[in-house]
Amino acid sequence: MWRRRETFYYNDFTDFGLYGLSTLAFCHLFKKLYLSALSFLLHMKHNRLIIFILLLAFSCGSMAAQQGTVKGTITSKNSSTPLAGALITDASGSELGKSGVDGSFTVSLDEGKQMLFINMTDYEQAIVSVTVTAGETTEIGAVELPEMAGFMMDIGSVSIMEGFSEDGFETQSIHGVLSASADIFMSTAAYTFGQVMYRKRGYDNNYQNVSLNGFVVNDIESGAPYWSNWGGLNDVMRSSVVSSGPEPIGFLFEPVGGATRINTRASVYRSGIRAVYSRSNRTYPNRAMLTYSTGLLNSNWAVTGSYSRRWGEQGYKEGTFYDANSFFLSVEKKINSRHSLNLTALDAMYRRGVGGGATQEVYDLAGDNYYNPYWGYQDGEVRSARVRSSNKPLLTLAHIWKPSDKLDIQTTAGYWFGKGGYTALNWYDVLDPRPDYYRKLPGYFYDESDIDRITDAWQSDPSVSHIDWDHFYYANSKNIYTVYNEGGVEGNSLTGNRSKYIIEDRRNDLSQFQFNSRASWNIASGMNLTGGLLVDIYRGHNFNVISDLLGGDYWLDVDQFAERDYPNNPEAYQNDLNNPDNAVTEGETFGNSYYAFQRGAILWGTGTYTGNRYKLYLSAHAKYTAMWREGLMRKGLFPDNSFGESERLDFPTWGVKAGGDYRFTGRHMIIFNTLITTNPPLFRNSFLSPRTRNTLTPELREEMIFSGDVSYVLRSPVVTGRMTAYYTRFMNQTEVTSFYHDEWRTLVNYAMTGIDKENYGIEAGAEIGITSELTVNAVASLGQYLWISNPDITITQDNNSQVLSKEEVWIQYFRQSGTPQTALALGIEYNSSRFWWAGITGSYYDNIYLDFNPVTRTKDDTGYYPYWDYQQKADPGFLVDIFVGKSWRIDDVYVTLSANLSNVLDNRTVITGGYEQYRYDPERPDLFQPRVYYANGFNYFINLSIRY
Amino acid sequence: MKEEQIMEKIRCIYRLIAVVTLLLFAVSCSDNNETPPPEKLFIPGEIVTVQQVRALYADQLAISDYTQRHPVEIVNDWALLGVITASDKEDGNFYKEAYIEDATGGLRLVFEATSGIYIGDSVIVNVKGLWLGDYGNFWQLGGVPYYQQDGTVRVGGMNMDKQCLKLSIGNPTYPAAVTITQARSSAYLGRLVRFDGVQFTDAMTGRTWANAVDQVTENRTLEDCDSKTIIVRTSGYSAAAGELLPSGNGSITGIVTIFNGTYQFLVRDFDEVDMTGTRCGVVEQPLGTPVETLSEDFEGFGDDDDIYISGWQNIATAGGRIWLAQVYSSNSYAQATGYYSNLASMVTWLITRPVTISSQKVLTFQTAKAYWAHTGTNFPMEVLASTNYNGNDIAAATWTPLTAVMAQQSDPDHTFINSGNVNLPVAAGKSAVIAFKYMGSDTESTSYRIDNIAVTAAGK
Repeated sequence: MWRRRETFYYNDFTDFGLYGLSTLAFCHLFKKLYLSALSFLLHMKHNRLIIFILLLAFSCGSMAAQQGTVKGTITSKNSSTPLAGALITDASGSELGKSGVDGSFTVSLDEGKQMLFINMTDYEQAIVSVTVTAGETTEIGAVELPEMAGFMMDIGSVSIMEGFSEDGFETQSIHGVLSASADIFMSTAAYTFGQVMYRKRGYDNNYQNVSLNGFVVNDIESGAPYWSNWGGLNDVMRSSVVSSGPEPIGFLFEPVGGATRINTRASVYRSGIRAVYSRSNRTYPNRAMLTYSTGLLNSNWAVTGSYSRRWGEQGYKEGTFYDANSFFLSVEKKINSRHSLNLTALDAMYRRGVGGGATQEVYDLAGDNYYNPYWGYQDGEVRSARVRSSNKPLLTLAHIWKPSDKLDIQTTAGYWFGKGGYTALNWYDVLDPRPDYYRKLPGYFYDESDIDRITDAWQSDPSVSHIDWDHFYYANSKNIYTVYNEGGVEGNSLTGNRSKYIIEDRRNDLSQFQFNSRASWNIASGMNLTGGLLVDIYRGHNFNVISDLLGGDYWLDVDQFAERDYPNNPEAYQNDLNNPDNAVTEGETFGNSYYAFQRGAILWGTGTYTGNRYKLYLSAHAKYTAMWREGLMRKGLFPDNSFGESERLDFPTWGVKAGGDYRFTGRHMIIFNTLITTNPPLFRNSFLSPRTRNTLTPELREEMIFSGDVSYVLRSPVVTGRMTAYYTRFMNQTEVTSFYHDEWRTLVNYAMTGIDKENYGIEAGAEIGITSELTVNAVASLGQYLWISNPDITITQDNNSQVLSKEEVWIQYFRQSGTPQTALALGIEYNSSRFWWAGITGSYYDNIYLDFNPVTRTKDDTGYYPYWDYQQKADPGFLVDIFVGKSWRIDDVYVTLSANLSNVLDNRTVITGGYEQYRYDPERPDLFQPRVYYANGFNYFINLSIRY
Repeated sequence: MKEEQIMEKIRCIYRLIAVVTLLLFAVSCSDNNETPPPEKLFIPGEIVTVQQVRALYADQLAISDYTQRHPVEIVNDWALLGVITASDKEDGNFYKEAYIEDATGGLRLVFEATSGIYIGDSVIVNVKGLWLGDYGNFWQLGGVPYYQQDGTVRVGGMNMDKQCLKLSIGNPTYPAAVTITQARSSAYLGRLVRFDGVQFTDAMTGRTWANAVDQVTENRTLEDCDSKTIIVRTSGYSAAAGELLPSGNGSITGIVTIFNGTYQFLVRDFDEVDMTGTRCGVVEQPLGTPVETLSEDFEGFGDDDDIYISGWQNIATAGGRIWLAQVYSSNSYAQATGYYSNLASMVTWLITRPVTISSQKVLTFQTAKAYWAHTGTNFPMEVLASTNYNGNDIAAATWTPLTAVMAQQSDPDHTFINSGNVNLPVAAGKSAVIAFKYMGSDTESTSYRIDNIAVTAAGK
């Protein structure tokens, strides 16, 4: 199953395979040019730098070209009705105008042969080629927009794969490209590559920014936006602007991974009702959505509401129930032609069973690469131990103000609050109850007879191969125990059944206020200045709650690891000295509890100049971030360093970027972006062990990012496509992880600092129109995502504050994990004029690396790396997807039925990623094999939508 | 006409909403199954004795080559009823095990995890489906056996919750008060016993219970005043592993086991170790009241007599050897030596009766050495004075070295050398003791001798 790399040298790119030599040479050349330009910029004195940039921006200022006018009407191909609000752009994506109520439009264009792009939500893009004569009006007549094929219409049909990292953080595959983007690369990345946890350009999730009506919804502590926060509200999240990289989309300093601006103003929705029912075997079996929108009423009010329910006993894996209700309400009042107010409230409430990864030994034992260790039978019925839940309402109030035709000011205040978390088993005085615990697997034993015995039990007894809930209740119901001086009260003794197994809820609740104001000012023809201010006040509350005592009377809140190390020191093993020997019951907090505080302010601005054949932008931001921890428990092991507020961390950070495009003709264009920025470390990486104490990560620094990309865009009537080369360097990153160290028998914190990474490669996508109905598309993402430094590691253990060692992790030129570094797709799509469509896409993935274990790549006491090994790599994979759909119009009712059939060849051997376990036994390395995840086998998503 | 269309449209909307609502509530049961299962009761088997259970393994234990033995599965629907006398839940001296005892004996229970049962728990153990095996000829009751890496078979750990029911908790346990000789018999194997009047042997002086640094289990020797010994075995993970063994004599409570013919004793709770009394054979030596002068020539002591002088003290603080009398050519003197002591460290003090020091007093004595074995700058003896020694606690007193001429390595063996006049400190209304402190070991075993100790007033 595993392919290990035999050698790994710095300049060894033989592994690239499909790249080809020329691509490689280009990559290198680009990287060199970029770095030298960067060093040139950095070595200039400040004032010179500013002058240089200003020159760059305005040097070729006012070469105004002769212009002509183009007129036409936009109609729906399916219904022949005029379409209002369609967006008309030129080849560079600059907005020229919008269609009126009757579908008509008039736009001004430079003379010569030009391309017009017409975009509208739910409709396919239309491209019109027109010859513009200076000073004259060209009539192009009716432009028909076909309704978009069903598979492109629905974000919910995109597979959002979810995994867990070793320390329980949520991971997800989709990277801010969830819009029906006209860019074939972007849509393929979302719809096809999504099923293998593809991450665009290999960037981590926190390098993109998602805002909802101006409220940035990235999670503060981990930096990533979680799509589950508005899951099920697909029909009201479609009006969005997406950038694939740092190019400006008019809100904040768009980060290196791009930005998504979702607009939920009630007036943007088309009036009418829309109902959707979906059936699937992916994340959930059933989904129903109902959306109603008034459009802008005569009273100048607009209201849109949406409700959705997603439910079912099981998703793709066993033991993954789904129970979600999502609500959305947006109310807008247009006060006058200059002022509008919008209030949006949404809440995606869910509870669902999560599927977990396992080792290949376990998958083989279970005979199923989709075995899920998180569930078992309780009285004959399936119960999941890992239930993720969320109830986080978001309220935003936006004021949209147009003081003049040239000025546009939008101000948003928002409040986000509520609770989220995931449950997990906890246990005391019993063998690890997880079915895939290594001592319960055949691989732990030496003799054939034992191996056969365990294998048989695994394959015949579900109480062995799954969680044995009934036994938990049995054990808890008869474990009589007396707690003396309960709660620290002298003489207060409590006798009852002390639970040995419990379900705890590891909560992360939030309370976040955000205020931002942005102004966009068209200074003069072609010149725009957009900027604003954002203030963010966040408090997260991380704590454990007893979710289910499983038949016992109480759980005693002590630290088991410390109890074993200090059996005669009852002070040391208290989780909370302020409340010692606490017998907790359901709903009570225990284990750990702390606030995460973070406050930030951002000042940002972007200047854009659009000339005849080119566009340039210059963008900058300054950001201030303060963060601190407040412990709500006094931990026995750290009595002086766990309760109360930590030191306050302050990080001033900044960023500058510049870029633009140049049009050779309307059909050929070059786009480039360059960026330098610093970022504060993430909260979760700023503390060594935030669950237990206030200790800061040593040598904490701001990270720095250099990035650049250049694209060639072709937009001919037959072929449209884009090819981009990119290079990004991340420096001074910090990562903190905690895990149980087998040799030392304690929880250990690994703080890696001085992490440098390099991500570079090429992404290309092309669509070729064979006939008006038949299209072929090809997409390639060829990347090299590397760790390029040997980070410093500080190792501390949780049962004292002593630094165990400070070493180097020998991982230079290891690959980043969690995404295929090579992804290719080839598809054919047929769009019949009789309102049906079908397509088939084949995709190929390679260079999928597993996350490495730093423990085995760290120097031991004698200065050697006795357990060092090459990084593990998964086999390449090939998947085929099919989509079909048809739509009908019955009077005013539109009915669309579509099916998205993924992995129709039912390939069950494609590993999407995984990680080496941190537990490591040098004597028997096979005991702790890596945990891996497989791409789903055949799966489907069938969607029926009805619209009035 | 238009109105009709609108009405039709509204009807359509209502129909749709009705259909959707139906869909949502008719098919939407999808919760996690969190309803508790019906309660399951513990059904005990027929109560039998520890002896009856042990008997099932008698045939295997009779096989002298332990590699030929195999654990025996218990097929009878039997149960043990007893009290837990030792458990891994106390002090960490046991790991994944506990001891149950009934009127007929004790048995080691081995578990798949920390036992979760406590000293004083009264329990029923269903033994059907469990396996009996042995470790170094000592029975253990556990789960399904498995092969270890070296090919030997061993009983696995049982699941406590499946096999045991706690009837009540916090019951008193009654150790049998026995002698070491009694305990070293099969009658007490696996049982909780208490030894009284025992002490760790002299060779154990200065050692810890176990190796806490590397977490290694260690054996220590316990003796009674008849020099009968038993091994005390302590885990490197136990709470007391890093603590010094008690130096005195007293009582200790624990479990008697055997390993390949050697009896062992395992402490179950270090709070039950009470060994602060006077060691075997040690004579009470109350410090005398202050006197004006001293004169001691050791005449009257026979060869190898312990030197006990009224008002004086002769105390070993390390190693248990004290100053002995020697007679050569009709002259008696005091000698301390590490020769053939087998001691890692030997420290012994001869402390004089206090003398008043309101006026200047002068000390004189003679020293001789033989068979020099001290190395480097190590010197066998120090002469010290203290004005605040209370007669009990040597360590707490302040000791001031006195400078005197003493027999050196280069001096001839067996020849006494005069110390010269040694001035004692002067302090109004106070008195001082003088200590002759020998420091040696089995290797640094120089014999050192003193004679003719005298304290007189200055100038007389």
